[in-house]
Amino acid sequence: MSVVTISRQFGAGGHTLAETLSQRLGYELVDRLLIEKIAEEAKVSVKWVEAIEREAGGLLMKLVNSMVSSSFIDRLLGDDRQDFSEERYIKFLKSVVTNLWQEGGKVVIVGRGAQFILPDSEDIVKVLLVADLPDRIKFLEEHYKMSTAKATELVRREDKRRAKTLGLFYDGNADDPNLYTLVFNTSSLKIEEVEELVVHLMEKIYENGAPAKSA
Amino acid sequence: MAVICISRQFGAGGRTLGVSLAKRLGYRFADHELMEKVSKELGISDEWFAVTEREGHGEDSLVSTGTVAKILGRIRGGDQDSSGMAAKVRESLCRLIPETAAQGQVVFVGRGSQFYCKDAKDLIRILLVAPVSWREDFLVQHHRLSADEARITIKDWDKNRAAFLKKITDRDPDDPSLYDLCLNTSHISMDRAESLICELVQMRSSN
Repeated sequence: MSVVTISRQFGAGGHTLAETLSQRLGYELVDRLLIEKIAEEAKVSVKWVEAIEREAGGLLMKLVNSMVSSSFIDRLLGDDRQDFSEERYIKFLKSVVTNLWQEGGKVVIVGRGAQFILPDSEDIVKVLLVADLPDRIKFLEEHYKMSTAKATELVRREDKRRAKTLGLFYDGNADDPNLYTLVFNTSSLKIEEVEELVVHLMEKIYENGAPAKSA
Repeated sequence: MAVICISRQFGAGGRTLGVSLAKRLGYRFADHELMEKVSKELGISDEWFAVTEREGHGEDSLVSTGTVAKILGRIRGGDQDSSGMAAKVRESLCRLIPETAAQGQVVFVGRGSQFYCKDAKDLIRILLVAPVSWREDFLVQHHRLSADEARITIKDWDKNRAAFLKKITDRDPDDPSLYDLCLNTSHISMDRAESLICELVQMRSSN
């Protein structure tokens, strides 16, 4: 019934937190891989639906949608990943994320600009993880067994990518604490401590039954 | 045995939270004591009392460091000396805050404590933020200001806070990497904010 969004500076431990948190809360983890998979299905569906609609009208839509299984998509697309246009992808992301929330899904969403897509509501907790650059590099070295050089390069690249992606949703500083419910600094807090605090907050939110949806 | 420093955008409820948190943890809320020491050191404790009296005496009073410096400036040689006085206040705070922090179990609100305390043992740095409109409402409800007064007060304080902290750090004081935990009091009730900080203090002290 609730959504936890996790935005993070790359290497601040966002994905690690999302995994343990979703397990503990019994929430589904929605990350880039899942979203991309949905996007591919949608892309194919849209094309099929458009083609079929021209010929047969809306009646077949349901049938088409049910046919679009992921193995089918794999065969159809292979490695030829025709990208959504940026604008279309954003529109698509917005509808997926909003749906997840409105349908009452219990989900932890990592990244994807979800903090900007979703409104401020009692049943949405928006988390940002930050950490100093050296700590983020060290985190990658330790958790993903990378060399220092590779970790440094990756953090630089991902910081740029994140700024660019979030720029599509929001013009200002994406690390402004005013945009989040909670910001944790994993240079000084352990991921386990962050996890405890978020769980603690969720318990408080559910103390008197399910929270109301607002906005 | 933690030392808790709460920095906040004015009207985000930092002082209210600090007082209540100190009570709950059985810690000292150091602000009044601290500013009394500063005023004594600089020889203006009588004037300091007069101002806190006027502004609403007690732990929850709203006297900024900038106001202290201004009073000092007026007393000690007119307006032209006021910037010199601000530096003296900072000197005192820079020494007195770590001294107070060394005793542990204390809550600071503002006064640059997050920077002056940086070497304290078991330091927990909190930032409270909220959008301007929310903070204006908070002042109207908690400090009985009119909407216009609240708007002007927040504008003044935001300016004062920025100016004061600029003398201590060249970093953006609302950069979350300067804190352990930032809480947005427009998203999260004061009760829950307090409960989260207590939880963190407990986790830290059980290790």
